[in-house]
Amino acid sequence: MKLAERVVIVTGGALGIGKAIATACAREGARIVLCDIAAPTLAAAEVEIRAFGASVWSWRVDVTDGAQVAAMVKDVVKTWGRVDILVNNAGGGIGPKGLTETHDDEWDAVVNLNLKGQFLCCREVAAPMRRQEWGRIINIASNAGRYRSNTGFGGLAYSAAKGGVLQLTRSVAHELGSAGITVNAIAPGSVLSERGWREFEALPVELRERVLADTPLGRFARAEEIASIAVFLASEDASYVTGATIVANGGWCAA
Amino acid sequence: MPDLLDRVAVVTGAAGVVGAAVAQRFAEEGARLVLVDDDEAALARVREALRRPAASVESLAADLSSESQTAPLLARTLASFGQIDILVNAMGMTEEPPWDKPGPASWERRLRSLTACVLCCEAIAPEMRRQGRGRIVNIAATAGRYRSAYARPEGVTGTGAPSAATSGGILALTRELSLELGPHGVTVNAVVPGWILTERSTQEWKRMSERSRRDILAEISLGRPGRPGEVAGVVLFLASDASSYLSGATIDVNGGWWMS
Repeated sequence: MKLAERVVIVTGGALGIGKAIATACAREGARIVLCDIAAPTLAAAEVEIRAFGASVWSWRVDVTDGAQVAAMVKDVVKTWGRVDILVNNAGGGIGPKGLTETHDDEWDAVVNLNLKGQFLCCREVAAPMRRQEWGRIINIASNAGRYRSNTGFGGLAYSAAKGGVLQLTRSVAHELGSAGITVNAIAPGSVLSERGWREFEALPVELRERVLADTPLGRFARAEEIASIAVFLASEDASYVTGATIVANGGWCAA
Repeated sequence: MPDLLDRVAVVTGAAGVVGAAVAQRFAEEGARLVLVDDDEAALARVREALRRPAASVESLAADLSSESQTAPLLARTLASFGQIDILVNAMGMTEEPPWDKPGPASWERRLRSLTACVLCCEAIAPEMRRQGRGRIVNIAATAGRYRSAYARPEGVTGTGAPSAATSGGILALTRELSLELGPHGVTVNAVVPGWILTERSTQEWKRMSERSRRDILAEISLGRPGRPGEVAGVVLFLASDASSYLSGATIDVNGGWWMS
């Protein structure tokens, strides 16, 4: 058990990559705080993950709302006495909207969800992690935040926000490093979660074929393959890794 | 279950500080090992320290920059264990300082590590392709992607360029091989350690002024040097099933000294 008794907060934990990460952490013995904004899927995910024998506590929280995030973290610390690991996974885009198609309110919504939400969660867990002198923060970024979307259809606001996540990661890593807290990012390529699959299916056939041909491993990631990276970053094996971005894209854009 | 139960791993440069730590960690995770280095005596000490059944560890003294000596690597591995799952190239991680006297002799000597890395990949990769699976992990110094050292020790006038170019070459090799081998189910990734405590770096540390020490630690987010075992933990991740969607990637293990 690599994460025995660790208290892990996973945002956007009801579906896709977030649920896979929460499940993988539960299998490694962690106690899970499952956060999401969508109540029905959250309840279903809680039941599913509890089947692994894990302690799961689900929280309906909007990560863009600082008061809600602070209340959640406070309650977790009150109940379990600590927060060991934060996985900032909540996020999402509005489809392939470029510069001139993106409205102000769309920009705000996407940047708030993908970047401000991660900032707020980092800020609220900093104090308990400092007290413990131990902590792990894992920010889910994207290929689109460091190069471009591999379909070429990534939304402008989403890419910009994910690029911001990578820089948030480095800055927070440096600020919290002396307290024994590591902060790293995972930048996945295309992942066949429910949502990822839907988005991919919507693309033209020849584009789908080209994207796969350009990916050396010749396939997209399963959500579990991103979750196993998160478990690694949360474990003792990654104790000297901080401020790093783990690029997981099947070799599509090797750098 | 151990992460590498019954996997067969070839570790080159196994007598070096990082290579030895990788061998140790892989052994703990249940791997069967072929350890290779040109320093026969040091290799024997590493093997001894593993305290594993003789049948699960092979060691081979070889000059890895010579094709005639790397070519038999695969046959030896298959003869002992019948398969090959993982290749870790740690030959670039020696205890030696990165400073050289400028001139062709230094270039030639440093580039031998790059040649060795290429030859080991070439010796092993065809069998991994045939199997349709495999993991290659190359280890290179931070100079290959950022700069050579935290500080040039006082009195050192040599050049770090040959050493840096060699590490940069290993990283380029990693990316290019990942393109070629990916379609065959073989992943190729790199690990780039920062300041890792070894006998040499400990001695250097002791010789430094208080001011230099403070300056160095201020540059590292975690405020401390790393241990060889902390590099081995990352190599283990890249050698295990947990990294199945990573290829052509480079993971920095530097406590936040440099962030790419």
